[in-house]
Amino acid sequence: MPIVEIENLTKDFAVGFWKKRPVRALDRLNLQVNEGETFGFLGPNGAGKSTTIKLLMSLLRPTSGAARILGKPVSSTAMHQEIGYLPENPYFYDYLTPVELLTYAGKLFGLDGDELRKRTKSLIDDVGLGHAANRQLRKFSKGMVQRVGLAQALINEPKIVFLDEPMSGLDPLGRMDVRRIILSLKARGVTVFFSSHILPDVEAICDRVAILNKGQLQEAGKLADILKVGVTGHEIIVAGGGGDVTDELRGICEEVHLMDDRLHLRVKDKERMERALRFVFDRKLGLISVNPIRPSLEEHFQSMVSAAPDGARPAAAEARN
Amino acid sequence: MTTAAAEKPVRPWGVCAVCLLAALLVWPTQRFIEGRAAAGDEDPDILLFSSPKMLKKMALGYDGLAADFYWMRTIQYYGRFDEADKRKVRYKNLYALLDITTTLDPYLTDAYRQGCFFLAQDPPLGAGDMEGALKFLDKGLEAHPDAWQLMYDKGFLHYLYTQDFKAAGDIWLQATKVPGAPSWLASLAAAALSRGGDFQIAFTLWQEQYRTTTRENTRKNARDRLMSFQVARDIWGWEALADLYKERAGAYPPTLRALAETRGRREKYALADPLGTPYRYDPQTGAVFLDADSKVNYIDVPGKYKNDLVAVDFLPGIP
Amino acid sequence: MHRILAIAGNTFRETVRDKILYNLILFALVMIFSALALGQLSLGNDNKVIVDLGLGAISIFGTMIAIFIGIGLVYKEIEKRTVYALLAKPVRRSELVVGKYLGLVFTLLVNLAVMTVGLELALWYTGGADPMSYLRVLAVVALTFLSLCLVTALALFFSTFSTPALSALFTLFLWIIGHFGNDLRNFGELTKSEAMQWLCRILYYVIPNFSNFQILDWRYVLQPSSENTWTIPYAQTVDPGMVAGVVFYCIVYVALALSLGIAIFRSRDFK
Repeated sequence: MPIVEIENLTKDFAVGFWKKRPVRALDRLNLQVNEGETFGFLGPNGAGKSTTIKLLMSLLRPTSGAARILGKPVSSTAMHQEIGYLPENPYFYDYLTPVELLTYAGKLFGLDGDELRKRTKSLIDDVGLGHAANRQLRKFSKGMVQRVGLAQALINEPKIVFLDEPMSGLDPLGRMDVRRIILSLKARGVTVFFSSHILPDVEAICDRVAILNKGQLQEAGKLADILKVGVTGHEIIVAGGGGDVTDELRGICEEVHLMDDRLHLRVKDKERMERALRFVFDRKLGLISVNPIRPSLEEHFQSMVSAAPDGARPAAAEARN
Repeated sequence: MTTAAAEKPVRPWGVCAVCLLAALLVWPTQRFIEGRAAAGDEDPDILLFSSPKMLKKMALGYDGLAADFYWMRTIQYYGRFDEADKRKVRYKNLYALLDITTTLDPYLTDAYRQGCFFLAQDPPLGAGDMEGALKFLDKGLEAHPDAWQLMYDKGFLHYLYTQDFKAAGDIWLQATKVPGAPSWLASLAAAALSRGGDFQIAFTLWQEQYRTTTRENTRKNARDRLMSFQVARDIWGWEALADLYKERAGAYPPTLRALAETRGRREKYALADPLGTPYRYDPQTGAVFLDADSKVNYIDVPGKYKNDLVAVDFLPGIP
Repeated sequence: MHRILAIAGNTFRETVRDKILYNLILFALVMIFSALALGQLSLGNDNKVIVDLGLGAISIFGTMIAIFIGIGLVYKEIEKRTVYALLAKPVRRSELVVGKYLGLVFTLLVNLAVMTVGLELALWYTGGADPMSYLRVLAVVALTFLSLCLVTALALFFSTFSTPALSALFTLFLWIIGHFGNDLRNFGELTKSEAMQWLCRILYYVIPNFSNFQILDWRYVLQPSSENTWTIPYAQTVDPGMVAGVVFYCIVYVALALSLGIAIFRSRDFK
């Protein structure tokens, strides 16, 4: 069941001081996010990721098209009761402490009393700020602010959270923490919609991704489906070898590298792989591993972004399961 | 900027030393600047804003506050004699300052009541501008047509400064018609109109001013006036008695005390001035006069009061 | 409503933790207490000086606080992007504007209370004032409070669409010419041009008339006692109808400014 439905969502911004001309930031986006999914929203800077999320948060008004969250239009105040949002590079009232900020946020959701106190305390502990719970935010590092931001997005125990670049500005430990929090949300059945340009994080935790470039959807689907598109060859690692063995293998394989007494062989097609393996067995070289080579998300992303022609809308843009 | 020296902690005595040094430099520098400024040929007695109506606009409704500042400025301007002496034209701006004050806040009525005396009194006590004082009071009466107090002040100026008893009596008579005016105004008016020049009226006026003024200078002036009346009565009284004594004994009495003793009972004239210094007496001429050390600031009492003053049995003392 | 109160509470906290507030209050209190010294130069009018200076300081510094905090309230939320996380919560934009407004108004109320206590203390220290004077001061301060409510609404209105510097300029300008309302009308009547007359008439009603809030002054606070016959009567009385009119005028203007501010704020995109 779709929890976020985006239909032909388009946003133009007027730029220029005297002669305003519209610039399309988002072009007829169609997308669905299912309940319980962890959805990664990818794209280079300026692709329209934040614009999309702000449209969903009703911070921007769409030029055309529509979006619904939990079956309600995004302008519905009641719907906001059920969602959480962490803005990109968040900034909160620096005169408040985390406890005060979370209490304030909770009150806006109509929370009060012991329940609010309990949630505030446990969220602050969850994001690892227990030691700074009563320190003013003005003294916080960027990573700490990000953690507070995450906590305030979760104060209402939302059904779906929108995280705009939750990993940016965090050190590796912070990223691990955010990853852990997202996974625990997922375990509780919370839908997570997050944008990022840090692909390994996306690869590690996302069920589905959408790739956006220049305001247009390039591709959307299960991570496995997108990456299965091409096994581009195999890598064979062999122990030992040297001298003439290497030369002979060069005749069979596309690439041969000798590293630390090991030979890394790359072959593109099946026929060459069989020849190479036969050669290894004939010469009684020690076979260590044979792995299919599939492009990483990063490589896939790069090829897709650089291949996309300006203004064109690939057929893959129609996101369907 | 190749090597940055380590930042040393700030030492309190260092800060103090710097402050002290600065103070030592600032003082002579400011003196130097003042010296140069004094050398310039600038008239310091100028008003930046001379249009009361424009000032009222600029006060943005805080007229009362603006009036207070102008009133205090007026008092400073009027009260500082040493500074006044430096001015080319003494109290040139006094009228303008009072005018601004009362235009800004017509209900600052003390400005009228005190200001008219600042204007009327002769230099160095005041500007000696009787015309201005009367004009100023008229402005006050225009704003407060029922203020018998201002009418009283106007009569006071006429009676004591211009000696125009008729004008004084007329305005006091007019004041009696104001509801709530005190009854003694009527007898004052009557006395002024029938017996203009009577010392009793003058004495009463000074007494009233002495009793009611809130201004120290005015009060002191009234006190001096009242004491002068006492002194004049004593002196003229003793001299008359001395003349009588000579007629009978052929010579003036040797001392005032001897003269007093010949009178037997307690004499109505005092042997010392109101502040306790005995009067001086010249047995050769029978003349009585104030001791040079007397603390009384004698202001000349007109000779026309002599007969009335000597004849009166009792002159109320000054508290 | 609880959301408006939460926003107002947070705004109050924000302004109370702002250093500019303390500087201005401190300065106002210094002014009020300096009246004690100045009053002595006034030849027996020291209570008048204290009341004039005290009420003036409360009004002027209250206005400064209203302007300099009011202009930043909404602008800072947008500029520092705190508004993003806020509006993603179940908060209407109108609730944000109204909450911010009420928060600052509450701050101003507390400030006025502090400054008024200072004025009352100064008055008490010099003595000689009728006991009722202490209560009458409150009536004048209440009118000042109404004018501050209006100034705040104007500052907030401007800050929904312009920078703090410009908002401060606009608000200050309106506040100043708001004291010249009657002159504007008189000027209009003097000109021969019909168009000019209409323009002046329109401006007279459009520009908030701040002199409406100055109908009471020291004459009301320090009513003369009947015992002292040498004081020329000056008493000022309160016309309840006029006060009601001023309260209504203030409500209408505040509602207008806030409504326009909300309309602008609602139509804004937060890029």
